[in-house]
Amino acid sequence: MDLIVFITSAALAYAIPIVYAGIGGQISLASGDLNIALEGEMLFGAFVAVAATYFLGSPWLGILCAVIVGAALGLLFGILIVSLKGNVFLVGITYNFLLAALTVLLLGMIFGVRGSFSSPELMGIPKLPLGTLANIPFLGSAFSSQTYVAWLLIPVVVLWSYVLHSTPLGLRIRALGDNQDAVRSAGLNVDRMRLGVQIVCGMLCGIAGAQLALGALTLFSAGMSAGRGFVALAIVILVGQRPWMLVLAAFAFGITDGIGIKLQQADVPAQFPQMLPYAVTLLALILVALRGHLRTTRRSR
Amino acid sequence: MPSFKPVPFRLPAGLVEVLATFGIIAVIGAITLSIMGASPVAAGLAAFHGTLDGTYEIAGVVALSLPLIIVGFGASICFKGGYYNLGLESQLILGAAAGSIAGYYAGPLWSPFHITLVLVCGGLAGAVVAAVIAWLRVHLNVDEVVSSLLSNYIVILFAIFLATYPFRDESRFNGAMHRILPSARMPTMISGTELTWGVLFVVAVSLVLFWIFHRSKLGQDWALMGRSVTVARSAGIDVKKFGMMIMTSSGFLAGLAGAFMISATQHRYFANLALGLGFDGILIGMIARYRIPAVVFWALAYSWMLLAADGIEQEVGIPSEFAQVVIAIVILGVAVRLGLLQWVRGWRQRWFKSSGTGSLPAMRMFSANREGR
Repeated sequence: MDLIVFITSAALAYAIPIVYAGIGGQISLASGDLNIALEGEMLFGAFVAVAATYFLGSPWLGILCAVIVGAALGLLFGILIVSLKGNVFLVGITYNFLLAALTVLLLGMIFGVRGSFSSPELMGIPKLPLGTLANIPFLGSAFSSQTYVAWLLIPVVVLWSYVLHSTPLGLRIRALGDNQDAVRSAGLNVDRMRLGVQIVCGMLCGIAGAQLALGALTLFSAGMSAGRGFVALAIVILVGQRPWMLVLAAFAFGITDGIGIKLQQADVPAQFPQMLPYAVTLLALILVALRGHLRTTRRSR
Repeated sequence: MPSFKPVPFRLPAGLVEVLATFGIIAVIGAITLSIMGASPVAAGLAAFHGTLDGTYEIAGVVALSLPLIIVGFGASICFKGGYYNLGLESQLILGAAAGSIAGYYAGPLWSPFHITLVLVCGGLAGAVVAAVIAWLRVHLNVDEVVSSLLSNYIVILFAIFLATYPFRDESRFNGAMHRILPSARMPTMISGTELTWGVLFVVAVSLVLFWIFHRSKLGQDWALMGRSVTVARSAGIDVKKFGMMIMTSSGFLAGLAGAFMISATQHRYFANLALGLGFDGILIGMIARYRIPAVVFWALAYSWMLLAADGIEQEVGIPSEFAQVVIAIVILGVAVRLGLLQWVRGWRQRWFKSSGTGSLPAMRMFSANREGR
């Protein structure tokens, strides 16, 4: 039973930042400019959250700063690809690289450390007290250790799902990805919408980073996003524009990560359990592609 | 013939580009340093002493640039062909591991043959990984950007596994392979430095690739693939085979770069060797805008900047990552500059089309480029 609790909490810890970043990815995918800099923006958000929390003394201000900086990063990304018409992939690759190097640089300059920073004065995001609900067998203890930001995910996903599929705004964002000329002829400002999408994406990555650095643990280490942004990207490509499938897929990959952590304690080479989440993500990507491939070949016959 | 006539302005244009880019790098670097509270002059002096003050330092810059040149070629030819192999990082590392294995276990051999074996093994290891990603992309339409990014983690962990369990050198700390045999090591060119005769190999590779990509029909087809798959198909190119070839050859070059490092300088693979080198190669390919001579130049400049940043770190205490930050900022500028040119070109095409040249395929090419990615 301990195992279930352990794997559930590990899965939640892994999945929640991915879902936040994944929603950002979903918005950017719907608008037609898939942002592959989720990883870098998330990592930078984690750094800003840690630095702001340390200096301002409040994790809430840390989250706020991470979101504001995320919005600024998203705006800059948007200007580079929309106003200056840079290739979204090249800009995205460079952005990841730039932000990763920048966190190491700032870590050295501000805190004078290399690699990672942690301090007893660094407060994590408070956890939502569940009261008697914490006594629910199995899941109670896993759920009672979740932060407010983690719980905020549920309304965010509900809202995003509603906006995307049931509002004119969602229709416009999707139309932006399908046919920009149609959006333009409807009298909307395409450039401003694309910028707005990237800003929202950056904000979500900022929250994802804050949860990553101040949620389950309270520290920042260089490269701590460890490919979560890329996994989020893969999930977005897998599930397309279905927000709840995103949550489900992220949780499923989170479970493989939990199993991987457990397996590392067993007597197997540690590298294989570490590969697990990436390998499973890749495998899922291949299987979905295979299904699509079979479908099209059947139709063409 | 170099002259001041406006017609053959290729060389001066390149020179202007190089000088302008360097100027921008210097300005951004100086601004960054001043923001961080260090004197740009002191940093500049430290950079000079660390990299250009003596044979040993200069040889060090060249030696560091050699694997970067090869992996920069890998990135260039891949991006030029319209494929985004972001797994160069792990393909390079697996190449280093494979080269290290071949250098130790394939007993003492005639040295040139043994070195070739190491290089080929490394290249093949990278090529196999890239071929798998390419096959998935070409036949199942699995996006190669995401699959190659994910493959990085898997392949690097696999290389670390190889160094930690089956091929581990028991006398070393955890996760290091055996030192390769002397016959697999490249002979030193200037004694007391890290520079080996491998520099000739890199020159040869550069010349061959220059001929292929700037002088041959194959290079034209390659560039056509990058511009538009649709046009390439209608020009009679087997798009699937060609795509496989583009990705596989870039993986081969990445693996080759890893094996080269082993044979020339490192002499063994260990966990965390060469981390980030593949991404450096991608940056070099991007700043060189996929041109072979420019890759050589920028790889040298990049390795100079890395070593200069190390020197600055020792003297002034600014983390050496600042070099990468500056370079990334410049590359963002380059990416945007390309986009601006593309926009101007597309606008001109539209304009010429309306004046009756009827360049419909060119129009379609432009829109395919925008939507395909």
